[in-house]
Amino acid sequence: MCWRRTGRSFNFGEHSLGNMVNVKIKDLVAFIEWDDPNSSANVLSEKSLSDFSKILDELPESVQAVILISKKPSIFIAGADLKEIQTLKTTEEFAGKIQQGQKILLKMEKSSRTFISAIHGACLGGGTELALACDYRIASLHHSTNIGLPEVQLGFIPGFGGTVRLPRLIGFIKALDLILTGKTIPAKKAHKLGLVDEIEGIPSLLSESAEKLARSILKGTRPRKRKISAPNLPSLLRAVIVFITKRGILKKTKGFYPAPLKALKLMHKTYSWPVEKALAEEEKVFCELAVTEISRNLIRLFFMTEEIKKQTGFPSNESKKNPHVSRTAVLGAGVMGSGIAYVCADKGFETRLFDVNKDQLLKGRKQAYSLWQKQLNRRKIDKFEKEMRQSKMSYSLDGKGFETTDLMIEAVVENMDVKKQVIESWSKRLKEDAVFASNTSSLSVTKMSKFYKDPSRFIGLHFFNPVYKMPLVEIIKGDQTSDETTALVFQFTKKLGKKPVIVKDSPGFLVNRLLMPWLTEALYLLEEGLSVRTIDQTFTKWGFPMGPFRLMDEVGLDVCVQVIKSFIEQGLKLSVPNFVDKLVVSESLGKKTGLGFYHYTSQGQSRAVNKAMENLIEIQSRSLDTETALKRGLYRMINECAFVLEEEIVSKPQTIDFAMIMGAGFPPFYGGPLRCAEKEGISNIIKDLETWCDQGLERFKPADLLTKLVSDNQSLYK
Amino acid sequence: MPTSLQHNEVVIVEGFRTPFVKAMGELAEEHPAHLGSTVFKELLYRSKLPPSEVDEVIIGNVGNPSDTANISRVIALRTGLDESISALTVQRNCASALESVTSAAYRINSGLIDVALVGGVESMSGYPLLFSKGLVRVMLDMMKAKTLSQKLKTLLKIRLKYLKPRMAVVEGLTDPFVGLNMGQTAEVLSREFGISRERQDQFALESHKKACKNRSHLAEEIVPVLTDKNFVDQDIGPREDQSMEKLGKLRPYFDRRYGTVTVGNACPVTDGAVALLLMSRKKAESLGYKAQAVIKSFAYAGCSPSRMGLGPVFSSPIALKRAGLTLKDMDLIEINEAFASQVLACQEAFSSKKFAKENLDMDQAVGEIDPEKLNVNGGAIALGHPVGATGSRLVLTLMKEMKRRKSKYGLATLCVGGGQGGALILENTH
Repeated sequence: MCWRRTGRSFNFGEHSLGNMVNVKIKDLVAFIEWDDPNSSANVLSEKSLSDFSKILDELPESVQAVILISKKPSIFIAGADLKEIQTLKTTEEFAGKIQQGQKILLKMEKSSRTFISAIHGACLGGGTELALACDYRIASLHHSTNIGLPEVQLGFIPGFGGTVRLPRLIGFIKALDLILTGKTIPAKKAHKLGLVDEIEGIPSLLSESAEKLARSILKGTRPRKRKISAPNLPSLLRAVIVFITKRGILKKTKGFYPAPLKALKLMHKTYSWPVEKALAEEEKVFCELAVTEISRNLIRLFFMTEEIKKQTGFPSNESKKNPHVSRTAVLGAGVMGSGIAYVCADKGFETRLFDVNKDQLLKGRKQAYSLWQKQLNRRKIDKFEKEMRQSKMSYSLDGKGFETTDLMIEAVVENMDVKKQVIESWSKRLKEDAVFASNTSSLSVTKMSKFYKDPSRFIGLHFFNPVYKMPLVEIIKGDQTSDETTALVFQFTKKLGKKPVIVKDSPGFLVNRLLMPWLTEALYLLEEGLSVRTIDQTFTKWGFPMGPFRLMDEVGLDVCVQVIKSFIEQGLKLSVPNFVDKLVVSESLGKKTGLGFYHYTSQGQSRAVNKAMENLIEIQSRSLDTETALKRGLYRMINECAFVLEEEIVSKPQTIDFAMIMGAGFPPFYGGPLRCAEKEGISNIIKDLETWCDQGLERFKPADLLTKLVSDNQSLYK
Repeated sequence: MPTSLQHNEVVIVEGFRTPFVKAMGELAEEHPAHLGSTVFKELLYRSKLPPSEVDEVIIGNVGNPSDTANISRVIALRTGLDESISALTVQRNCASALESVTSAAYRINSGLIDVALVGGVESMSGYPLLFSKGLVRVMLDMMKAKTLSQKLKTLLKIRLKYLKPRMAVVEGLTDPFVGLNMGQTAEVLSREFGISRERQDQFALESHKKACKNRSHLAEEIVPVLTDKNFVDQDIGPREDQSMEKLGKLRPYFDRRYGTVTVGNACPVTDGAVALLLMSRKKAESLGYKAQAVIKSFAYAGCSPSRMGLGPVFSSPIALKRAGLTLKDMDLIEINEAFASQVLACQEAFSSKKFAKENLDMDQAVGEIDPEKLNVNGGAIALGHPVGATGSRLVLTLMKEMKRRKSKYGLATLCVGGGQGGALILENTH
């Protein structure tokens, strides 16, 4: 197709970066193309917005319809520029940013021209709000086309009129569902909700279809401007809905995340207001939330996730060519083994599951199949996709057919002798360049690597249970593990949709090591007279998804004690109360036996505290208050983080924060244990640690790294 | 030496099958595409063949399920082969999975392709019950009816006889030309060749005995199938406790009054899948494979539909002639045991000069079939006959046994519903 450019070419000389937005004009219709020349995504930054605004201002009089479209293959507009948002500090700065956007969008809305968004690819946050300010929206039917307002997930709310225009377009209730959850929806669903007016089945024809729509509007077959509908939900009914919704949010967020609640209140309040007044209120609430530490932390977490996406797994992040994995195999069809196999097959890897026991293999298959069934029931996949994913799995009892395996992952029992035997016997059967990974949570990778024919191709790959749900994977480099092997496994885990962190081989690796002081401190607290329930509640009220005793029940008390002992054996300084051995009583090993620190029903729900457990322990009543209890648990974890940094188990403090949030359920809104320490003030923490230490509690001795930070007056994050 | 495959030698590199399970048994819930992808995947894994080496997939199947048109393509994709690899399903009734082998052999011999995955799949448990034509018409009319009165009127058109379903498995096993079902054609042969009930039962018993005795041999062919409930890694058919008394107690199934064919001396309807890896010899060598057998020749021939069981006698002499061999040269013979009477009739016909003169235009009998060489690991009476998969199963079992015995030549042949025979000759390469 030949474009006739009747407009002049826009070039803003002062920006050497080139235009974020370009315009092409063709008989009364202008195509405004978003195409950031320096990025694979379009975002609403100061510059792109001002480029856009200028183009709008300079459009020739003759233009009657404007089509907004992206030149990116899988992104329309991905939202506001978060990098820019990170640099904003004060309410005023945020207000400036918001006003810039709101003004442009209002201008579009008020213009006599017809605006059409042609959406293909991710349309998020500000992108969606831009589309909402248009008169018409047409979206491509493509898996990359997803529309939503995910702001609450970053601790703030839509600020370019999302909370104002969306309820007026699709109705109050439907808008609540999108804005309060921050979920994104595919084009088809958006069409059903009325969020988009038309669907184009063939993505490559999107631009033409948008033009056809524009032309038909210009001919007068449809109204040129969308009329903003008047509020039609009676306020009493609305109040009831708001009440119920609020309860739902509180149950889900436990009150730790203010953004959904504020958004709810705002939308309720401004629903019947004139648009401009409502926008001003939105701006106010946005600014209140955007300056909070919670939002800052959630944005940081977002960037850490993004950073991992960009990493290659090589030490200095080179993008060297590396063989890729196509065939994986898993040894051991237990809960972990079949969980790993499921994830591999689900992501399209040819996966071969091995076990010496027929029933175990059947069980492993069943576990995986039930997860696919769940996906089918939730309509995440259709029956054809389900068949396809299921057929990626194959099963072996006799150990034949593994010669072409690229990556072998063992998930047999955590016992060095068993691992030795398994690794040695499989070592011979695998091809020369096969990588062998051990899903160990506590054994030395370096030691195990000696049993493999090529220790440089041996690595630790620690998944968390349940594998399909937990995003974190620890990649443990043994002393001889090569960079290539690390990168191969790193890239593989990313393809599984997981978030890998690279950890040095050391007792407990990262997450379990950091959890252990917290868990054992809970035992001390118990000894000092606090009840199981009080201790658990202290931590859940603070934000943990479950308290230490609940977690020990989940893991199994026998496993906990075994891990503690193994850590100590491996040379980790970990002090535990003397009664720890008494904890392992058959029949009360935690959730799996129906009895641990709590009673459990056969469905695994917990009821009352198991008093017998508390009675096991001689209580030295010292009447601690819960605040001290909280601090003790947290500070021991933070202190251990410092040791981990001293020992260079991971390369930077951000990794610790990230791993603890993704792998141990550390409350994300605190930004991780070290971010939390920074906030509390390291000198304050040391003061407390030293006080306890002086009371004769050696385990609280502060790490040198912390004292040095304070004496040098430095931050953890350089 | 004359051979039908003289351009590029065609070799079989490896082969496996699922256990064969009587229909409505442990594999009843498994879709044939799933049985197929399971066994083809195992073949790829165990043969270490890089999937990109495959040029074509040819799979036999008789009752193609309505939800997997061209089931071969579905299996190829689920096996993990690249989308660019072509796949076709072939149907020659009972010889479908021999047709898949020979179709690939033609292609390899002519140099069109080098590597083929072939085999057959059948889920006779999955054969549908069909609505009668009358009921189907009413249902279609119902969809068109708009008003309530139109709907009621349409419903009134239902007749009681419409409710009787048509059974695909019964219709499939009935010859549409002469109107006899397969069991009746076996009765025809037992009369023509005077084969007593006792001889048939004795033959059936031998089949079970051989299959039970050689379970370890059969196990070498089998890869397990996991279902929701079971770990299936054995043929279900062979019975340790089969006896003449037990067989004698069964009533004739197809001719209740004067018949001799019972469910005991006939093969059961069965679920199963077979996969073979075929290559040109050159390709096999360049990939470092040791061929297990060479396909020497093959032939198909037609005969009277009412005597379809004699198909092997019509097709084998042609295959032998094409290979420049005689029946005597065969060290091992697999004749598919559709019915005991039918295999016994074939034996008679093979050795009859009269039969050869009248039917085959030959002066001499084709030859004697030594019972010691015939179906040494048992046959379909014990193992089962998943129609669309059996042809490849015969080739697979023959190939493995030839290797075991270091035999030189082997013949696999079978009768085909509709009045045909198929035969294929293997030469051991060791």
